[in-house]
Amino acid sequence: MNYITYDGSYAGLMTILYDIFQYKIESPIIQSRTIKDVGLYENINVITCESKAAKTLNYLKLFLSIGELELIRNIFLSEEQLAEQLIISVLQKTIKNKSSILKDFSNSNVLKIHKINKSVNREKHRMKAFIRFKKVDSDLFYAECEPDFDVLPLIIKHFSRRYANQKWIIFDSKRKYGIFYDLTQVQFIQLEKNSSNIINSQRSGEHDYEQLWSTYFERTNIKSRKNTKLFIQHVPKRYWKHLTELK
Amino acid sequence: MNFDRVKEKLEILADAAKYDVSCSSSGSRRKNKNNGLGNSDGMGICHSYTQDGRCVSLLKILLTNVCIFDCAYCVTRRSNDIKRAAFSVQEVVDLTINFYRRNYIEGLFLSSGIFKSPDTTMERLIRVAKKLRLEENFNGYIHLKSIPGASDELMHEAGLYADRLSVNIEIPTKEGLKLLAPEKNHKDFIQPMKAVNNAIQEYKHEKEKSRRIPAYAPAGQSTQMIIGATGESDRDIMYSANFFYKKYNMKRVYYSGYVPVTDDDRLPSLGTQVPMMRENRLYQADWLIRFYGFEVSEIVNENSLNLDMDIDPKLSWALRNMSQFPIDINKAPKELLKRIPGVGLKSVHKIVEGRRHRQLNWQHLQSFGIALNRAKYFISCNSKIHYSNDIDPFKLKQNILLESNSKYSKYFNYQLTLF
Repeated sequence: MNYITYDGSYAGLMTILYDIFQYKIESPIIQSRTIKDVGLYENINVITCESKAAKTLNYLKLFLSIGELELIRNIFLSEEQLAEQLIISVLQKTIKNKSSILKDFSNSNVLKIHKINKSVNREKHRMKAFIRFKKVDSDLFYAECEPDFDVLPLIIKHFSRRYANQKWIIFDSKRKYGIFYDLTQVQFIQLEKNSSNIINSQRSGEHDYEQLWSTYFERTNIKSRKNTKLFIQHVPKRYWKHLTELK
Repeated sequence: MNFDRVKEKLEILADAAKYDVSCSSSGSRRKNKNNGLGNSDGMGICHSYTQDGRCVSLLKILLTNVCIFDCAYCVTRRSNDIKRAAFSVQEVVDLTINFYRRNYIEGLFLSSGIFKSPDTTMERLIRVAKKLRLEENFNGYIHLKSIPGASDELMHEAGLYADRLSVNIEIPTKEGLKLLAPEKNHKDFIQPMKAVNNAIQEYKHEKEKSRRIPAYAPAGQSTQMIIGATGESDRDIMYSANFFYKKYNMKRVYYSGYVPVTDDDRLPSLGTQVPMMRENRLYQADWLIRFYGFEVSEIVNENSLNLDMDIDPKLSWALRNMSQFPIDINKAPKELLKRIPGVGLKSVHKIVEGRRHRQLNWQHLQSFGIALNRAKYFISCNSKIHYSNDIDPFKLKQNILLESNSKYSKYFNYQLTLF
């Protein structure tokens, strides 16, 4: 068995793919260095190399559509334990066949990938829906979230297109990083201070809009059609604490 | 903005608008121009859900609940003794922009009671949309409710600023409408639809010649009808819906189970259950027509006036047409695969792609997420096991019902229906 460790970045994973082809490594087992028990085995440590990663991605473009490449990236961002393994196995097979196997739904790994992809896409969509901005000092709109998967990189395009004329931050308090749009571009940020400092400096008018929204939410409900099960299915409880109307 | 006053208006005018079931914010591609606010990318986003499980994607309000009409089914009708209120144009604009900036909503759905005249009302609705687009550079979704009886000129203008226009046909049959809304004329509903549909076709045609032509109601038209208020059959409803799909290119027809809001001899009494199950079946049937290639007459006809409540309409059709089965999963064309009960469009896609690589068997079908409890009697695949479909449809239905665990089963106690 070949145990391979790496730095946990996407470029790192693509470097691994490059290397296992270079050195013809059969059925490797991939582990991110953040996992503790890697010391048990003899490991090959792959050092991330941007140019190898770029070459791999370019090569993959010969067989995979843009959508399929996005799908692979989604699997990576799922942070699922088997994600790297699945990615490497289907990409190895794709390269061997010189054609995509991602539509072979009768292959169990492919089905697993589509299943994870569905979850990641759902989470991505939910973050587009459930982000709630608060207007804070200096016309900045701030939102906090805790997505199940690491989807912030996937929603940058959506929010920067939609809110082109306001400054905003979306902060992932589970992974302790955020995305910040400064009216021209989006960058990844770490917040030094506790985010509650930002919230506390809120302008007085903010509460009024939150109240208006909660009022609307309450009034648009039809009591005689109450269906709690369906409601919770749509808005699982773990999202509630960040939703103005459900706090 | 006076928050207390606006809050009070919002309470009244959101409450009055909630019976309109349309909530969709999809079907429009509107780019964010000149660094403005907002866009629509074709796919709607439900930003929240009400306690009854309906999507909240738009700020859905009435401009005013003052109304000169007295339609029996409507909370806002003239004779109902309720608090009345009206938003100013600027108030609606402010609410929309501020809610949108906080990512509460995808846009605005603006409807109104009819005050003074249809044209005065329509003109005021257009002013809101115009202000949002031209002064606020707002590119989010706007759905305007067309006012029955509004002039063609105003309908034409509305389409220049709105993504979607709709006029609710309210009651699926002319006779029902006469009974419950005697002051309204069927023609008044149809005329604005016709005007908008003509304009949409015209702009489409022009757009083929020049790209500069502005978007005109890019998300098209929709309509809604109230179900279960006048004793109409599902056949009446589906034929009526089909008429609007075919004749006026409706993007959506919504079915709204009647919620009793008033004590009126002409209507089901207060406290009558909202026909949610029936509503659900109608949407299923609607889907079969729009996406699965069924004809209306295959689903409802003289012999089946109403949809089955205990099974879905596709299964119901299959049981009436056993001679068409079994369908061979590994050979049948897409159009036939779509007709198998329990097989949705995504499963059809998986079958078509999957069978390129190998012959599919039961395990494959199971892993695709097909509802085999229903589907297995209607298909053959690469496997020696066959589930007989050579039994009487009535018995087959009982078998399927016994094996399935419907979330609605509590509504049925397996009593035989009298009809």
